Formats: sequence, structure tokens, C-alpha cells
Amino acid sequence: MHNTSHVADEPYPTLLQDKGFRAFPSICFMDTEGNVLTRPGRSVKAMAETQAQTSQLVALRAKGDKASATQQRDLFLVELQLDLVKADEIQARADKLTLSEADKKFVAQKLVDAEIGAIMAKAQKEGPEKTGEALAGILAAGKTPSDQISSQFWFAVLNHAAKQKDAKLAQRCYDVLEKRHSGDKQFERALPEWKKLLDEAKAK
Amino acid sequence: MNLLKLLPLAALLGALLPAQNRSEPTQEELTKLRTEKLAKPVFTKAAWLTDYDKARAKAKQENKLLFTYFTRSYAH
Repeated sequence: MHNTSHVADEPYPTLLQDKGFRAFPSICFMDTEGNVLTRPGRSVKAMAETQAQTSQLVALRAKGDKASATQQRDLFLVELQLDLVKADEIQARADKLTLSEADKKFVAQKLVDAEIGAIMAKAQKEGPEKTGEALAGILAAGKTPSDQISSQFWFAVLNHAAKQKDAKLAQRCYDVLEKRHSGDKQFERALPEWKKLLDEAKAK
Repeated sequence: MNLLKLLPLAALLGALLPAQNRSEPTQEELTKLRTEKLAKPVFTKAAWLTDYDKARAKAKQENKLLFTYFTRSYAH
């Protein structure tokens, strides 16, 4: 049910929607103009990290054209950490900056994650089989998703591997899922299902 | 780097009732729910502001970010 009841004196009854959110509760960091800058995770640690990064972001953006090369690099990196750089702009921006080897690795990882994100964004349209195949292609190309990539990735590839009877790939996916969710009550029922898919992949 | 400090803002956008089959709540009921929500420790233990305009003005004055929490009467 869409309940629109609200206290009559509420001056901003649609602020949630105006700021791009859909559900209560939602949290974000805003600038003083009310622009949503970042949306932290729900843990205290995630909020503290996002707060620090958002503060750095605002300070570096304020430098504008006066930013030094180092500050421009730092701005790019913090925007990348906060997923504020569009996927198709990551490489172009990185190429204009002097990055350390560690920075380059970080950029490369973000590009892999962005590639995965683009495939997963089309999952509903493409269907599970095509999506699983495309995601398995990422691993086949020697690319590894970061820990930030959701378990949906590994589940989709596990499904694909089960259908393809690819035991090695299925084992890799299962191992990640088990490591992430073993002992988690929310996944009590999912783990045996994933094991079934692994067994299916191994069955001749 | 001069890191911006933080200004918490709880945006209580309408005190809605959780039950789907209840009749439309009265303004008195909604106001009571909002008051009860604001009395919870999560709001009393920090200096939350619930006025969006005042929060932005204060943040600007104090050079702080706004930490914004959208909630309603039944939400955590």
C-alpha cells in the first residue's frame, strides 16, 4: 500500500523522493546546498569511512582549477572510491594523471567491477543464462571482481557452470559463496542450493 | 586537509502508520507518533536537527556536511 499520510506541518513531504531515494530508512551525506554527495553503507565503519571520503571530496572539489596535479589525482581517486566516476570516463581520466602502480591496479579493478556492473544491470532484460555466460566470460578473461561485487555475481556464474558441467568454475564460485556466507542465518537455505549446483556441475 | 565536520539531520518525512488495513490516521495520532519517534535514544543521544532549512543554514555557517537520515514513525 502506498501510504501518503503525513503530519500537516511537514514542510518537505517529498524530500526523500526529491533526493532520489525510494524507501525509508535512507541515509546520505549532503553538501550545504542539499545536494546528495554519497550514500554510506549501514555499518558504523562504513559510515565513518564514507564521511572521511566525502569530506575529502568536498575539500578537493573546492580547489577547482587551482588544484595541483596531486590534488587532481587525489580527487579522481576519492571519486573512484565513492563510485562517482562514470564507467566510460574512468580510463580517460586516469590517462590524464600520473598514477602510482597501486593506483593503476585500483583503477583496473574498478574497470573490472564496472564491466560486471554493466552486465548485471542488463540481467533482467538478458535473462539468467546470457547473464551467467557473460559474467563467466569475465573470469575466463582472467579478471577478478573485487570483494565489493555482490554474491549475485558468483551465484549467476555458479548457475552457468552447473549447466555447462564446468566443475572447476563451479567450485571456484561455490568456495567464494561459502566463505562469504557460511554461518550466516540469512543464507542457511541458500548454501545447500549452491552445493546442489556444485554437485550438478561435477556430475558426469 | 581541513576536513569538514558533520551536522546530523533527521528528516522525518511524515509519520506514517505501519498497518496496511488501518483507517487513515488523524493528525493527532501522526503528531504523537512523530513525538514518540523523536524521543527514542537514537535521536536524543545526538544533536539531530529535524528542520531541513535550518540544518542547511547551520551546516553552511559551520562548514559542515549534512548527515541525513530519512525515517518515519515505524521505521528503524
